Amino acid sequence: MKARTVELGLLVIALLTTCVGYVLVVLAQRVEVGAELLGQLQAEVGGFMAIVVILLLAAHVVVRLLAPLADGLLLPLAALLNGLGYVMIARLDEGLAASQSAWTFIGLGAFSATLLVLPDPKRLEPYRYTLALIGVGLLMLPLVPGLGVEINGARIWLRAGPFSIQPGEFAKIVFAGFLAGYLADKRELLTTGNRRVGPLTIPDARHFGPLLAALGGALMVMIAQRDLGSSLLLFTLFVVMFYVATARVAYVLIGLIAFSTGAYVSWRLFSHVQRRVDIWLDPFADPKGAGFQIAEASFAMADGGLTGTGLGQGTPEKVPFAATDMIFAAFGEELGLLGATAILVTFLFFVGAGLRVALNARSPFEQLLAAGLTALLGFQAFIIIGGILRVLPLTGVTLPFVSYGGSSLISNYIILAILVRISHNSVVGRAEELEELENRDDSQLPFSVRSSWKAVNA
Amino acid sequence: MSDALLTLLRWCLLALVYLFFFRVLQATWSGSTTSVAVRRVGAAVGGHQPVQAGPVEAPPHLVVLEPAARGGQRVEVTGELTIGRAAGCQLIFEDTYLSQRHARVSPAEGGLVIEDLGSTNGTYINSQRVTKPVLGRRGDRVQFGGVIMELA
Repeated sequence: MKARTVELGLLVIALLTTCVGYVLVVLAQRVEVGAELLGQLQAEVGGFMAIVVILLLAAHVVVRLLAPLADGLLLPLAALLNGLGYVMIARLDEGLAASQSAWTFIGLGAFSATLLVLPDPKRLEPYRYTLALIGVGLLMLPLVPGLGVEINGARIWLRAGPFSIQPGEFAKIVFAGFLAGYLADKRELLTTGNRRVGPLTIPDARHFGPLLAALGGALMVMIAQRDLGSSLLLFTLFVVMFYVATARVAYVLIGLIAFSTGAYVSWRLFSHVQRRVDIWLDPFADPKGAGFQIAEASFAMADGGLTGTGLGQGTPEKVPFAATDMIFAAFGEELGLLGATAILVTFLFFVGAGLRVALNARSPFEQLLAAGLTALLGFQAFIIIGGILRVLPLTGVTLPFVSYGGSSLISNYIILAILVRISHNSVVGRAEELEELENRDDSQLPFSVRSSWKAVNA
Repeated sequence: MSDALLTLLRWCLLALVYLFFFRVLQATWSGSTTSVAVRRVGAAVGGHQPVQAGPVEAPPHLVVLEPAARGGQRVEVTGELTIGRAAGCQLIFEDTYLSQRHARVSPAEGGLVIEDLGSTNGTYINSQRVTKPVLGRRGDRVQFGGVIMELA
């Protein structure tokens, strides 16, 4: 079966799931028992739901046209997350659902545009330092007086008319591009090293310089903005990509030590970090005040049990930020352990599909970029779900594709587009090599290949 | 009636999600998520071995055996690389028996070409001294001074 056929089949199941979810929400919330049921359903279910379904099917057509040989799992997995998220947002807040369908439209527009304008991601490789500058620039934009606004204690938003944009969401993609370019270039030097420090051989400091400058700069900005979640995510991205590029566990250990030191220092220095840690350790010390969000989320998930209260039948709106950061708790309550696990499994599959794209990519840059973008998405999901489940202190990041939020949805669709593009190009690259093999003079091939080649052709 | 319908739809929803997962796994296992062209390439190389990297078998990696401190390190040979103690080498070891520029390794079909660059203590492939460029194959053991590596 072709990749696109698989994709369409999966997409149909994902969209069917979304529709069933939406009908459930409408039924449970607003439809009175009686004869009018059908009419009400038609009135309620139309509208935005149809928009989301049609958009995702349109995305499939776009992939067929622009990247027909791409992996068939990525888009349906994203569609399932987006669809389920949309249902939950619609269940929590109709107004947000309307904007979310607009964001989905823009997000898929960005998806198509990325596929269109980036026919070969390798072309970005020479611009690695430009990318680093753009990344730091994007991060610093909200600090500019007049442009940036502070919401909920973090200064990471830009005000643009009725909407607010979070440039940091795009900065992380740009940083992944910078790291991929930088590491593809210096990989060998960083792998072997030429200086011995104790049991380790490490490269000269000059090879690290630009990298540490970019990381340091970005982290300083994020700390100044009190954006803990994003700084954690960016740091993780650095460590993961270093490890992927060099396969040296030593870098992971150095990263962990640096992280622990940094975390300890910021815990000593900043009261808002201390507060997060205190809430994490004991949210029930002040369940009506500081620990309210986590305490309510825990109650909500406990209410859900194994199969949940049913969509539209629980009270997930009691948790602050239920539609954005805390949406996973809403799934835990209304769909139960089975539903929450489903979200986790979908992310797991997405990360698996993304890593396979990385493995099959044809150039080190594309491999690193695909691995980095996949890591971004996976760790972002881990950071927020871990925060809600009290594995980590809660830091506000969105659940990719699921949470309400324009910048987040758009940037995740750009990530998806880049992965789709890389996987398409790797298949094309292989087909071209095959063609070369077909046109090659047989006598130049090694004997083993020549004989099996003949066996296939016979 | 409404309650029964809601319960039915609830289970329907979960069933659909897990059907989705089942189909994802099925597609992954049957290998049909990647496109046909790849499998044509695989067939071209020969049915007896699964193809990982491309139409022609990828050149082997170098795996460090000695010095033990860097044992197990894998070096991918994508282009020509020189081994030695000098800073200009792509693969640098602090080994007393290694020359500044000791040897050169480059990828070739079916293995790696090993070439001694006039080193003091010599380069050996499976205990045979390398005097002219030699094709090393997967499984061969190469010694540069005190540095020992295997082609894997």
